[in-house]
Amino acid sequence: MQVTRMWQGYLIQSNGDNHFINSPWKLGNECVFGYDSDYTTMAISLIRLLSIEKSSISLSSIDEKINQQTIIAATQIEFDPSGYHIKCNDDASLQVYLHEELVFDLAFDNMQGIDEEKYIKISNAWQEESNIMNTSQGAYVSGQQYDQTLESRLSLVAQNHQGIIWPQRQMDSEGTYITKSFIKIKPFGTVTSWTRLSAAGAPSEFAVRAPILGGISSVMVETSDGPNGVFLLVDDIPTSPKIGDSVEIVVRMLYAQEGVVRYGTKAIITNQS
Amino acid sequence: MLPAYGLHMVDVAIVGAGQTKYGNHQLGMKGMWAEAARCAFDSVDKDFYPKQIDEAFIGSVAFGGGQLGNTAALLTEHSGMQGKPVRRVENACASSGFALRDAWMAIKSGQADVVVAGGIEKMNDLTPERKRYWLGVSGDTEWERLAGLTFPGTYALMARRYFHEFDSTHDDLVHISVKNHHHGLENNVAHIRKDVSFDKAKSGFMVADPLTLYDCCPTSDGASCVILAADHVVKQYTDDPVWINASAAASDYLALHDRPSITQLLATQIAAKKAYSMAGMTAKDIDLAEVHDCFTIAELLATEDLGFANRGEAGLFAREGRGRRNEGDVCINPSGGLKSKGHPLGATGTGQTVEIFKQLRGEVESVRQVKDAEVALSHNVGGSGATCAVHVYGREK
Repeated sequence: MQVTRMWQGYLIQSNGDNHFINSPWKLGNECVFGYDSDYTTMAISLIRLLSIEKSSISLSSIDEKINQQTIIAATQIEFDPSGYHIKCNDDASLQVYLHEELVFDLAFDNMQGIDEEKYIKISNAWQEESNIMNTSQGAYVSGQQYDQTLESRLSLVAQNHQGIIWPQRQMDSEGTYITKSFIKIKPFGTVTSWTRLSAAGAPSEFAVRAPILGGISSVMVETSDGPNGVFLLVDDIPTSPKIGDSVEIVVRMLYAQEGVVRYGTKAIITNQS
Repeated sequence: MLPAYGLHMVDVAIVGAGQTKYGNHQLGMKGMWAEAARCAFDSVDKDFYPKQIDEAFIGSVAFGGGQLGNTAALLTEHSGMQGKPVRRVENACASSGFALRDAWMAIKSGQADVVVAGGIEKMNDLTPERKRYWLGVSGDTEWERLAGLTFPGTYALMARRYFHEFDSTHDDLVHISVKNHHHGLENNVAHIRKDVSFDKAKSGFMVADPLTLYDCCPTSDGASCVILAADHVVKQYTDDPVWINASAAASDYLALHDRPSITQLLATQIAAKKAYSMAGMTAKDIDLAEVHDCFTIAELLATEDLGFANRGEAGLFAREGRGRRNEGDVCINPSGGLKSKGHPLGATGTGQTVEIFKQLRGEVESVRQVKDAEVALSHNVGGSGATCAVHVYGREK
């Protein structure tokens, strides 16, 4: 029997060069995704873990169900024929392996039942949002604009210019151009303020899902490296945040429009103050 | 030698001011603007004709996108100003505060003698879904909006942090809400004219925790218009002008997370400091202030940023009722503020000036009159505080 551990809101099992990640949610006997997770977010999470535990890793192949651009932006992983393979399963799980795929059993004892009605509504809402015709009529983050800040958004790429600057800026307060530098701030921090928006108060990008979720929560975070940021809390871990809580910043689905899922960083409360 | 701020060759007065009622209007944009302009023209004490206007600046966010381009040209042709140089000014909710400043500068520069500053917004003709898109267009869209934040959310973050740092609770915001509803009760142009009890305001529907419905201004339609004149032509229009003795403005980082503090608005502090210096006054000299209370926490922060209370003491200021009409240190939002009078984004800044023009001339409803009002201030903020215009007015220049 493999040891199961929780990592960034997911369950992980490892056996040598084989690593298995699955959603902690079950519907009957089926493993299903949480409200803002998919194969891409789980793959990012597992690659990040492997990057920490191994000196360096690379990828040889990625399952077509996974958004490759997002994986690269979030992890900066490189491709190499001798690298890992990522293969998605039929349920909310996937495997990362080096040579040969092993069979892992779902750790049902560590999983929780999901609210079926809510799960179905959220799944339908994502389908509705993902319609190619669904687009913002007002404030609008274009595909190009989204892509330009993808690394900064997903892997917290920052600038080192008389201190760490994140999100990235063009010039400093003296008007000096800041050259692009590649440092990453650590994905940890402390809640400095928070709010929970009613469905009516949420931006329209979240208009379909916010009523089902009963609103959305946002936190302002002072990262352990200094810069501040604002983040949504993950959708599938009900938490009442407090100022002083510790958070980990993870990648989840934000919303979808024009047929494309927009990924971003959200916060998980890791240690309540 | 030039003085520290601005050009002092010409003094600028307000000779007329008018507005529509704020609320849910049946009139379209052209009709609302024409009504506000007519009210302003009619308020001029002596003969006044639109052809005497040299230039016009119209503030608008162009909410809904119905007339994003050439808004000012379209509107002013419906108020007898065709042929004049006109333009739309956009700085989110501070649009017409900046339009007023632009008009003031046009006269100061010597390029114009009579200038119109105004503002307009039509917000209630949109579907709720489309309205929500437009209510979130003035923050740092790429970061704040994708973190689930519209303005109720950003101001809620400020409120929660303020309560954490200082001796203050949500009750202090409730006091502000109750005060402003009471001030607006008899205001004939106010959007929401009803007294609200402390208990009711305290237990309102939660919009963005800790802000309830009673902490949030309504979504209003409306237009406002003021007529400015250079000192050498003022006598042609009135013997009872209101002088603009200072016009100052500033900006700050757009996104909350880029600011060193979210419990004070730097743009307000800078603009206020410049305005007081220009007018040769301090906060203690102000009799009444129209303050940008899009959310009650915004008024609480402005109470400190404008110098009416020391840092960390605005909660106490609110609890002690020191902003109440004819009871406190300074009457804050005698019109009812954005909370009661309403907030038609682009019209709000010059709408504040309309209230001050009437207050200083003793022309508001008698029950609303601030006694012995001689000096007033307007404070108009864009978004969550990234832009701010502060003006100081007086019966004397």
